[in-house]
Amino acid sequence: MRSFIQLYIANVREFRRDVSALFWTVAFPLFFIVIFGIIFSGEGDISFALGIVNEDGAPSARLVESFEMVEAFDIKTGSLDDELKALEDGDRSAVIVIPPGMGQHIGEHTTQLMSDPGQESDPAALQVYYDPADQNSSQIVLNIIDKVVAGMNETMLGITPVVTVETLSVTADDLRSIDYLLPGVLAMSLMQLGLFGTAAPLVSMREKGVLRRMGATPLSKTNLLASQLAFRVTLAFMQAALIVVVGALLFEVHIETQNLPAIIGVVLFGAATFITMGYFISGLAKTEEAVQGIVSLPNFIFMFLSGIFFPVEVMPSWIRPVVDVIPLTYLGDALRETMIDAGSTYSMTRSLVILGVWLVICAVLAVRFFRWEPQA
Amino acid sequence: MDAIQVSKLRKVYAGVPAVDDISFAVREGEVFGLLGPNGAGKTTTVECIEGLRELDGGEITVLGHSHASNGNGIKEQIGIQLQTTGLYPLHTVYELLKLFGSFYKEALPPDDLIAMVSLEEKRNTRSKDLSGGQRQRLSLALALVNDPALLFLDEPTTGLDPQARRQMWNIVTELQQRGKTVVLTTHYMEEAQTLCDRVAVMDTGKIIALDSPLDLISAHFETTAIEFEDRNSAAIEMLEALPGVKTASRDGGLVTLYSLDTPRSMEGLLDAARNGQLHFDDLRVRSATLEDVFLKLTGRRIRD
Repeated sequence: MRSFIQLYIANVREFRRDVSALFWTVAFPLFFIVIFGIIFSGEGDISFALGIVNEDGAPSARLVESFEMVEAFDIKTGSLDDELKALEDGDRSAVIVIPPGMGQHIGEHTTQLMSDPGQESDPAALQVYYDPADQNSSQIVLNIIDKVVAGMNETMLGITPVVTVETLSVTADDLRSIDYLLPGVLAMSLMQLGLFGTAAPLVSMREKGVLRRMGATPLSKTNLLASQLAFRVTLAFMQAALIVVVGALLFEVHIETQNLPAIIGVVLFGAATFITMGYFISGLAKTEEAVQGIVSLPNFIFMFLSGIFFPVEVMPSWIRPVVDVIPLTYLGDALRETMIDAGSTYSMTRSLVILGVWLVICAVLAVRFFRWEPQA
Repeated sequence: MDAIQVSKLRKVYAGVPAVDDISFAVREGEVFGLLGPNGAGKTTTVECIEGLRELDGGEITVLGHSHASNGNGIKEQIGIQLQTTGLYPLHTVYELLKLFGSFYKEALPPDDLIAMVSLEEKRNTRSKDLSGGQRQRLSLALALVNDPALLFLDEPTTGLDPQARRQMWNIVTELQQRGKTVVLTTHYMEEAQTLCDRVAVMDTGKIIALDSPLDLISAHFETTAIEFEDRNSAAIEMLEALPGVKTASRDGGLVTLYSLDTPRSMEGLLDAARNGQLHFDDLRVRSATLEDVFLKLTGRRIRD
């Protein structure tokens, strides 16, 4: 334990005295959040242009009204061709098509369900078009549409009053792209700190013989790795705090502050997972240059396939199995769930379990592949 | 009692034996030297003893513990100075000694260690700002952190200037006076001759001679060495025929005559020069050294 504490102190000290490391650790996340903030928070409150093509006419007017109640939606109506053209041009976030006979179908369906709830019958289907290229808004829009429809179902069946729709509008009206993106940015920076910020420094320590010298003492590799991990997690936590605070101060990013303990927990857990992964990778590489290359691979795969920037729903279905095992998917999802209370695809339990599995596997491999000696 | 027993040690790298079936023992309280040119297998041998490398064959007992059964237990009781030491560059001498102390069950106070290696003035200097000699003394202090009974020094003075080398030698001598057993590797003859009670001469993975430096020399030479630069490549036979000369050897232009009777050999040498048989420069007379022993045993000089 004494060696763990002393090594932790040594890591902090060495880091604090290294001006350039200090600079990049602060500058890197700031750079990200400022760039994203400037790009995505420009117009203040975001509203999504939602096209509605009402091919059913009067019987479905109430449906259109329900969507108009959502403050986050700016409703446009028109013909199918015009609306799809507008969607392609990027003037709509999504287009909802109400097919002919929808109002009547709903009426019949509802009556049937009321009189005989056990009876199977086809629900009425709304068609939703969206543009997969418009990554940052389509997931939110789809999400809101889902909730509106859920609210309508409940209203129609008389289970609850219109409450659901109102609640939704409260959440939706101050959710902007930046709010949705911040958890993604945070997840990405935690991953990159883990992959780039740990593997290369450890390999460098090995190449310079620092590890070799410590290996000539009774110090155990578990102890050494644990102290490294603890220090890097501290660093990750400070970086995350910086991103969130700057996001909040500069861009008034929405954060569910009552979830703060949960947010901190997810940040630490995610950081530990990726940092451990970094230490595992550092055991595979011989040189500092090699480790940069190896690390880039998971970095790219995770970034593009995790759904932190691209909604999972827009990806081809054959990619989904990959998406579903990537740890960044779950870190991003869990952060979104805790930070903005919206936009999550998976359950919290599932996210934490899968992150935990990755953490344990990487920790075992990190100790297994750790080497004190430079070269093979 | 022996501090170290090595029996039939073998270590192979990529099919080539770096250490080839060697056996020796180090006595408690002695300074034991492994002497040989680069690549002779000295470092591999000490790293096997230290437990930093797996053995490919043979047995090692360190301070009564069998090697195979007690890896980290041995590390607790020995001090290791590696040939090159990587350290946290932004940590001071004091901070590094404190850090390394935390790796052992018991450790000496950093300031005592600093005094042992005379680094008082550099106590608060960062390791990257130390000179080569100071860095080497810090590395020695790190090896002393756990107050080990047995100390390994791998090429402790390589790359140091003569003054820093002398200082290192003084410290090693002091450590021996404190009762420590020291194993050192070196390719400096003078260092082995000055510091070591006994020397194992290594070449290509084998021990080719083992004794005290003086006994090694007198076993091979009851002679003095007469050296000169030979200008016209005189035949070895002619040189060995000179009065009092026992053997002669040539290394490029440098000729060494090993003489049983220095005055007579010198006379003969001067006569030959007067007759025009010999043309020499830079004549000097010295006693034989370990260098001569190595030259005689291998036919090569050690610094090649």
